[in-house]
Amino acid sequence: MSSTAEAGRILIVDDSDVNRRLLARALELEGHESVSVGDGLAALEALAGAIDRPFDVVLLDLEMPGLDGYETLQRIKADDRLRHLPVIIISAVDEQASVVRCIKLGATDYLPKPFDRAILTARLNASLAGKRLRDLELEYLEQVGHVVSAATAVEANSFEPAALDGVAARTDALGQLARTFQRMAREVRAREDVLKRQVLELRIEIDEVRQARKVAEITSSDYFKGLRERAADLRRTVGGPDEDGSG
Amino acid sequence: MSDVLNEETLLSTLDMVGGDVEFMADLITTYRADGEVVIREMRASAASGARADLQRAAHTLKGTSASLGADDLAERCRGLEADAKDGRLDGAEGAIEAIATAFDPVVVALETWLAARSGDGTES
Repeated sequence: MSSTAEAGRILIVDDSDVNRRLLARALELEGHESVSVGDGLAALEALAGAIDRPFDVVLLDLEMPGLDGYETLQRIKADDRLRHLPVIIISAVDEQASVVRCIKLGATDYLPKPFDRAILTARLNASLAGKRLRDLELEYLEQVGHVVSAATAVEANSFEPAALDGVAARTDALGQLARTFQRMAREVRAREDVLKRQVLELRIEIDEVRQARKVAEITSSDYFKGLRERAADLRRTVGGPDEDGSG
Repeated sequence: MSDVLNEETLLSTLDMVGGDVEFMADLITTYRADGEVVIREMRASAASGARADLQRAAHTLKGTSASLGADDLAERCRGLEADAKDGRLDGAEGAIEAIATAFDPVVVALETWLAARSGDGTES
C-alpha cells in the first residue's frame, strides 16, 4: 500500500460544521481539494454534478438529517457511474456495528472520531491509491475494447488504422499491439491496392484481346472477303487506286 | 489544564489543522454557536417526542465535542443518543439540561486553553 498519493478531490459529507471545517482544513494541508456538504441529498447532487471534475473519495458521516449516511451509501453503490468511488465512513468509537454494516454495503474504509491526522492521511491515501488503480484498470479495459473492435472491423473490411491512434500512443504492450495491428492493416491494404491495379490492367488487356479477336473473326469471314473483292472490282472499273493505294 | 478537556485529543486536533491557533479559535467559535443551536434542537425534540431528531442532535454534539477533547460532554451526549435511539425519553429533559450546563464551561475551557497556546506558543 502506498504511503503517498497524488492530490485528490474529496467530498466531505457531515452535518456538523465543525467536522466539515476540520476535515477540509486537514485535507487542504495534505494538498487535496475538498467540497463540503451537510446531508446525503446534497452529497448525491454534488456527485451527479461533478462530471468534468469527478470526486476521488467521499468522507461520509452516518447520522444526518434527511438522507442519512446509510441511504446515501446505498444510492452511491447502486449508481453505475459512482459504484467504484471509495467511500470512507466517519464514525465514532461506539459505532463499530454501524461501520460493519456500511462495509457490507460497500464502504471502503472508516475514519474514527475524534480525528487523527495520521489515520486520516493513511486511510485517505489508501483509498486514493485504490481509486487510481481502478481508474487505470477501467481505462486499460476500454483501450482493449478498441483493439477488439478493430479486429471486428478488419473482418468486416471496414477497419481504419487511424481508429487505433489513441491506443497506439501507449508505451506499454497494448500500445505495441495496436501499432503492429495498424502496420499490418496498412500493409494488407497496400497489397490489396496493388492487386486491384493489377486486376484492372489485366481486365483492360483482356478487353483489348477480345476486341482484336472479334476484328480478326470479322475480317477472316467469307462475307468480309467477298466484300473486299467487290470493292476491288469497283476500284478497277472506275480506274481508282487499289486497296493498298497503288495503281 | 482543565478537567473538562482531554488535552491529548485537543493537541491531535490542533495538529490536524497544522497548528493554526487562529483557525482553532474560529472553530471554537463555530462550536459554541452550533452547540447552542443543537441544544435548543434537543429541547424542542424532547418536548415534541421527536426521537430521531433528538438522537441526531445528540450524535452531532457528541462528535464535535469529542473532536475538541470534551470527553465528558461527549459521553453525556452518547448516553442521550442511545436513550433516544431506544425510545427512552423519560429522562431526556434532565440529560439535556445536564448537557447544557456542561457546555458553557467546555467552551470557556477551550478558549482558555487556546489563549494560553497563543500567548506563549508552548504546550500547557
